[in-house]
Amino acid sequence: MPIEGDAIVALDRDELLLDLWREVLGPATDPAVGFIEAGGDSFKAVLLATRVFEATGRDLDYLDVLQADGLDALRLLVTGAEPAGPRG
Amino acid sequence: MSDRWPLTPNQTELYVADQNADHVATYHAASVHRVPADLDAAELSRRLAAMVAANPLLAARVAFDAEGGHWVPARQPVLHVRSAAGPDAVRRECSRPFAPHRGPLLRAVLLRHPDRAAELVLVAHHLVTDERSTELMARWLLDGQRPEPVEGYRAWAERVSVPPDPARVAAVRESLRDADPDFSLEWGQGDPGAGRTSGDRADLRLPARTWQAVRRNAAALGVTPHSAVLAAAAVVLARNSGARAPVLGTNVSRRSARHADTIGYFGATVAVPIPVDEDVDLATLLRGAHERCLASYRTADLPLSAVSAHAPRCVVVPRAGGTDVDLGAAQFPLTLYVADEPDGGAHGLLRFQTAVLRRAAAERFCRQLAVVLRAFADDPGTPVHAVPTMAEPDLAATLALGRSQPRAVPAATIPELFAARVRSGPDRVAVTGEGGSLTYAELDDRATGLARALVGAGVAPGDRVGVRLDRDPRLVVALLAVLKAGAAYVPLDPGHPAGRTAFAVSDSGVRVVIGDTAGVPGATAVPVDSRGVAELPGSRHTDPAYVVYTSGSTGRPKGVVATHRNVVALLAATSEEFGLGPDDVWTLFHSPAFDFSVWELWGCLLTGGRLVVVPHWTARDPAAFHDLLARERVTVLNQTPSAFAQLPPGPGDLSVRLLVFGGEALDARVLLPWLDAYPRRRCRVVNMYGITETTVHCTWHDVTRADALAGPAPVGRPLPGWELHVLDGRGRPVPPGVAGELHVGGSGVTLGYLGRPGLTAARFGPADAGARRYRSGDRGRYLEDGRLLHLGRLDEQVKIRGHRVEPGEVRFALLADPRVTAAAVVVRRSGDDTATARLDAYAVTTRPAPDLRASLAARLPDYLVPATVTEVDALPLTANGKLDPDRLPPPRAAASAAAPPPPPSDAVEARVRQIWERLMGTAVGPDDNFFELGGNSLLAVRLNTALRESGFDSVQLRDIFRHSTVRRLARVLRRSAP
Repeated sequence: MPIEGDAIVALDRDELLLDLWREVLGPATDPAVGFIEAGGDSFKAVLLATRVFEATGRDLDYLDVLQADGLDALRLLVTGAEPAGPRG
Repeated sequence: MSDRWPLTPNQTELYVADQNADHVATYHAASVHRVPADLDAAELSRRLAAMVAANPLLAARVAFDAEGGHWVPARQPVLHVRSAAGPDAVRRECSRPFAPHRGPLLRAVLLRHPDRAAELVLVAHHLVTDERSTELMARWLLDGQRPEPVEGYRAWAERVSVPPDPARVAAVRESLRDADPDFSLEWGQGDPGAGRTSGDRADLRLPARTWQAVRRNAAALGVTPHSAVLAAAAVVLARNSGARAPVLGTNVSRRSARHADTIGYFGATVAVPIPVDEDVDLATLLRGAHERCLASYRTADLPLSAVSAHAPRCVVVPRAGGTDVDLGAAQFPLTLYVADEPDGGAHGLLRFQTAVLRRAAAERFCRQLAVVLRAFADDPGTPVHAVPTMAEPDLAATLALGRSQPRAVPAATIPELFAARVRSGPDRVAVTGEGGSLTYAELDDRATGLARALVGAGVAPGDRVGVRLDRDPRLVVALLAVLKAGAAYVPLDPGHPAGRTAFAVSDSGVRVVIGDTAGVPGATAVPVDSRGVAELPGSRHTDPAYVVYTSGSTGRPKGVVATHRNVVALLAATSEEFGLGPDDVWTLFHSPAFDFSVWELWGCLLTGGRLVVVPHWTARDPAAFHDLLARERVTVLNQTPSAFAQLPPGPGDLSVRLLVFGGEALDARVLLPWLDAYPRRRCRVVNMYGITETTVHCTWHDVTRADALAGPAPVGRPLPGWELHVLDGRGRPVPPGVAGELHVGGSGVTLGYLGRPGLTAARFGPADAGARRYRSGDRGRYLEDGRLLHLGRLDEQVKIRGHRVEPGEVRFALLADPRVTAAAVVVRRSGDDTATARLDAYAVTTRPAPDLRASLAARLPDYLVPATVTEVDALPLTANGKLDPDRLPPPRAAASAAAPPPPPSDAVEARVRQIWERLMGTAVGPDDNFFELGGNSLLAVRLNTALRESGFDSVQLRDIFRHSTVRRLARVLRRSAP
């Protein structure tokens, strides 16, 4: 079945987020493991939020990144966050 | 676009803190960069100009008005090129003060050194920078890398400068309600004379193995390493201060991803309450701490001052790394910067205020943290109560403070040691008093005769025999005779009420009394002059020698049973140090029913001295007693401070070479006239702390002139063979500086309470536990140098606003100020309402010290800070030398609510009061405290601005904090009034 428009974007974005996740937390990181459990701390959360912002324009609260319980949670944050709606 | 924009809430917080700091460089952020000697200064200048043009904040100043703080344009910062004068040049550049109300708050200096090296010194006030901003600025200036911020600082500032949501503020306040933001820092033993924000640093190093295990265990719990460090700090602070839920601060950055390239100050300090429940395991504690951290991070947009009345006392800051210049300032009492090390370990830099912590305590605090973190690295399942807060060497050092090298104690009884004295000097006078003198041989003979009579009257080894005689040499005969008969004496003071005597007799099972048996039914009287012929049994040195009754603050009197060995050990501990010998003349001044007499009696007779038995009425007549001391050429004098206070100083003709205080707390000021008349080389003055349950004395301290100027004297070090440990409520030793209960072990520990096995086990520990220790019920703490402070009785604590308060502790805190020579703290209540109990303090000072209360507030929890501190010329004393609280003046700041405020005393005071009343919207008296009227730091900023606008342009915000009444502020302003 051919893959269409939004689905292609979503697939690209998923791969991108996995790359960023592993860039910050280590190449062998299991994306099903929570950010802190995977060795993340507030510095890494800020770094990941910055990299996500640079790549997608989505301004995530680093605290939400810190509390993400896996890559899926990050994906929800990115799809849920408005590009122009930073908290503070 | 207007040329003014608001200070962000976090900038306002910082501004207030900065205005109240007294070290100019407290909020400076500096970075220093080695640059090539041939660096193009013109290019550097161009970059600086471009950077300032793009960031108006860097060329702005702070202006305050009724609406709050704003940034308005100021002079442009320019590049300074200077040749470095001396090795301290960098530090001097970094410390050069900024004036936020003049601006600009950035300084760039190209320092050229004589050896052709050059450095770029970039210094900014923290109001305009943070770690990331400093990095961005340095990159721009040095490498020409111009950042491209998605959102500029001003845009952010205008977006976030909105009044905080009251509901969220209320929720945070609620979360802090039962926590302890102002936990005690007395354990730091700081130097109150140091500037409030003067700082020093100490280091914490965690090896890779420990730190990686901390990280691993934390990650497994879903906890960040930072939360783990914060929780560990909370455990240490709770243990050191006694707080249940210390509130720590942590720095968070409000910089979001879109601000990665924005220059400005995004930092904020949030308060994190961490309940330290000793009964959960470390994992649970850390999880809870982490949740509290996250909750606090999410409220970082609320100004800290809106949610808490207290600045944090300990702030833990995670750090990415980087170096900074130590400018000798500290923003908070304790700030811990934690960073990963390249080798996998961690480094903690502890900045501390020297007014609050001394270096030894700061360094130990770092080691305490390391111990808790190691426990977490080893096993997160460890219950908190089982986690030590002292490293092994610290624990060993602390326990060593509580012990001293025991002297050899001969395995002999009192009669055996006495017999040796008889052999070595049979014809020397042993006892003098009303009715004549007895030589050692005569005393021995008469006591032996009486002992035989006692045995003849049915006294068996181990029995207790009452002695109820007046104060003359026959008393000494009787006491010795009881011991020779193999029994223990129960001293009964003829002056005591018959009921008390009857109780002691029946409680101790006394069947035979030497002396008067009036009012003592069932006891057989044996006259002191009796002589018998029965054979004397022996006794062992571990047998009881006497039973002394202590009244105790509650309940019926308890008979304390001391052994021969206890007494022999006391002599072994002291006789060499004090040089006690046959040339000494002692007084037997105290009632035999008071165990101070045990020391007088056997201290003298077992070292071959002459004992002068002071007749009852002479002991009560200070002038007559002074005559006796002179006439008998007494060399060893033992006194309670109250009795000594009545003794006339006389012409300085006494032969006393050793003056020992015991029985109650010594306020050494009573000693000044004595020290004038009898300098150290003529007479040694020793303060001894003791408890009947541990055989008369436990500690000794040589009282110096400095002590006499300071007031309450330390009680010093444990006697050789005695042990004094300060333990917390769970029986764990606490480090020096930390207050706890005094537990006494070693040679002085008596057998316990006669016929009260339950009470004995409760106070002395189980009899089969080997090293028995007596729980004294006294509070104390060790000073760093090993001297012990006695802080009063645990059961004398009063409750103030639900907290247990020891007035003696507040008094010691006052006396730690070098300006204070004497102090008293009294508890006052209106009626029986305990809710209104408050502390009023009185201080005698060498010079005016209007900031005494403020200086206490920096070190003590709120509830320990007295409501008032009144300076007085002298403390009123009662006839027996104790404080007379009834004659203290009314506290200074006690404002009479009913009476209208008195008129101002001059124009300055009138103007200050007018401004003040306008701001507060209420009538203000000259001695009303700004903060007690509801003033807070923001109102203080507004008051400061209003004062400046009305011509007091030299006024500093800190003046308002330190001189927070109209009268005192006017006094400061008068010096600079226009």
